[in-house]
Amino acid sequence: MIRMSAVVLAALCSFAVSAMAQEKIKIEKIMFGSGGMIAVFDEKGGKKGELPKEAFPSVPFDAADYNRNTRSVKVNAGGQEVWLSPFQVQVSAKAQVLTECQTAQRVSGTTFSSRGASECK
Amino acid sequence: MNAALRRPLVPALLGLTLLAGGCKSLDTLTTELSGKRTYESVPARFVEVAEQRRVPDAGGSSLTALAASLQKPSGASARSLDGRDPLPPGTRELAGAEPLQRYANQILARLLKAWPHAKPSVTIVVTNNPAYVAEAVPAGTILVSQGVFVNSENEDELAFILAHEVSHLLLNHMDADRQHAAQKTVEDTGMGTLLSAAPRSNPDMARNAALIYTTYRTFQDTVAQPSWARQQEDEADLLGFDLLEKAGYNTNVFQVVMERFADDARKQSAKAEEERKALEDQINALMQSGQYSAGINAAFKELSAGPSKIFGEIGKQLRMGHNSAEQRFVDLSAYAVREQLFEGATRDKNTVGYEKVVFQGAALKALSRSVLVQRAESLIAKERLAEAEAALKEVAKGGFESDPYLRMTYYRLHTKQNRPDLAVKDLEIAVKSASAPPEAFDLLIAEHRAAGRASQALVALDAKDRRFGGAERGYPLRIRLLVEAGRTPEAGSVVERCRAVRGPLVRECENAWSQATVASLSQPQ
Repeated sequence: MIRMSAVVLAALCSFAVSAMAQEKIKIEKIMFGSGGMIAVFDEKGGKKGELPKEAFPSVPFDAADYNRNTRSVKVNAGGQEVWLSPFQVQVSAKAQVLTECQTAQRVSGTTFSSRGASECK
Repeated sequence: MNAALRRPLVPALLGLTLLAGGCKSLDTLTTELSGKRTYESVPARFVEVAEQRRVPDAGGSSLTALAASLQKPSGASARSLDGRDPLPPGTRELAGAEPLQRYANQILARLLKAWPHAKPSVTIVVTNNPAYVAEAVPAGTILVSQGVFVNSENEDELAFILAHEVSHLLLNHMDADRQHAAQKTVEDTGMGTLLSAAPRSNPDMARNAALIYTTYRTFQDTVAQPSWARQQEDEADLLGFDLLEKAGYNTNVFQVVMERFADDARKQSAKAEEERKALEDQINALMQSGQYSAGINAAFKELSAGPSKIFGEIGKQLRMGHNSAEQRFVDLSAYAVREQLFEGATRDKNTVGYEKVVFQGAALKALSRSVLVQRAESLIAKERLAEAEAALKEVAKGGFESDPYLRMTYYRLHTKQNRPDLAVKDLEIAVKSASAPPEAFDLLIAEHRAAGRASQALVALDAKDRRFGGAERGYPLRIRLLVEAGRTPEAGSVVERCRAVRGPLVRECENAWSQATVASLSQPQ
């Protein structure tokens, strides 16, 4: 029974992970410089030039891609795909603090449920 | 002095006092009111001008010296176990945190390489606070909570937190706090002197002067000083960012830190609301079940806690003096864009190294012990006793069976499980430990006393006095216990010793003596 629960749990977890990976990141705010221009970059962070405010859809809109490490976002602007630095945007993916249950799980690998392994609410 | 001469003297002196004190904080307030952000008032990289913005040392200032001479000497403050400078009240070091401390020191050394001036001596203390918080405190100390270590995902995130806190020390912000306190002491004393000099024939003048001063003090404490404190936070953000960037860390982590702060604030406020609602439900249930007086008592408790809670919250906000996490996110982002510091955001974060130090070996053991004990405490409070017991068993497995805090938590669990013998045994084990806190002794004394074992309670009280000193404070309790143990003559001699101490304690001792004697007489033989 316990083994079966673990299998179900693992399946649920992998489903949750893939769902998260597919989750669309929304761009909530773009911080344009004075003059309404913004620097745009390539995937490696090299500067490609500048684009005016009018080249971008109005916020909020879905990002074409998001890099979790650099927090840069890819957007379609003015008919081209460009990357924006994390310092120029606010996105929907936000870091959180762990709940008490998640903290216990992180340091010990278990939630100490009386009904066996379970997810933190 | 002639009354006609004295009349203009009071307002004149009052005006001079206010002018001398208020200018500095008014300066930052004016900047803030103009809508100018702190980074906008610095035209270049902050690290290049930081030394000019450093708060002057308060140690030798005439204001601090004057304030020190005006203040009454206070009692000795508590020191940490190894004799270092005192930690703020309520702060507890995380036991076994040395690996985390060493790691934080390495990060700090890397950050300080980018500081072009004299390097300060900094002590890092890891506390057992579960919240995501760090704090720079006097004597070059940075407190980093266990919550920071557990929540952070990489070294870069921890580095930004340390960079921000060490920036407070580099900019000497601790002395700004000392100067504020000194200024307040001088002003309060000066005002008192001025008021006593006001002519008795003109009480209106004294009243008006007091009113002006109270208004000024409220303005300073609630508006001007917090504004200055906010500027200091902004400066620590800017310098922290520069140190992080120059040390080669990924710089977008400041956004992660700010997002976590914002999330923490949201969760705290939701928790407070939940607690309020639970109490409301409890009151309603009591009233509906016909227990009116219990319901009214609970409602009264909530009402009386209300104002102090609100003032406490306001005070917390003011003392913190931080801008919102969202505002700090926007300001630092704008600063990075203005300085064209895009490259720092693309660097790799040190996640593997971080996991290796924090989530393995001795560091993980220290963290899990503290986290699980805290988790068990809250599960006990929620009556989820089986889960609490499982968490405590996990801690005990690590070889911490005799840890006093673990035993105290076991005591609470066994009490809830209605197993008093085990509960007392837990406390007896706890007090044997060299690191047992006074509360462990207090609980053991209370348990013995409640079970009518006054002699055993006295043994525990003796042990507490030997360990922590301050036997005088325990005289009233000792008197009660001696009477309860049938050792009335000894109790009488403690009353005599207490009378020799003098002060308000004498009344407490005499009350204890008379109440205990009456109680012993009314007991059936």
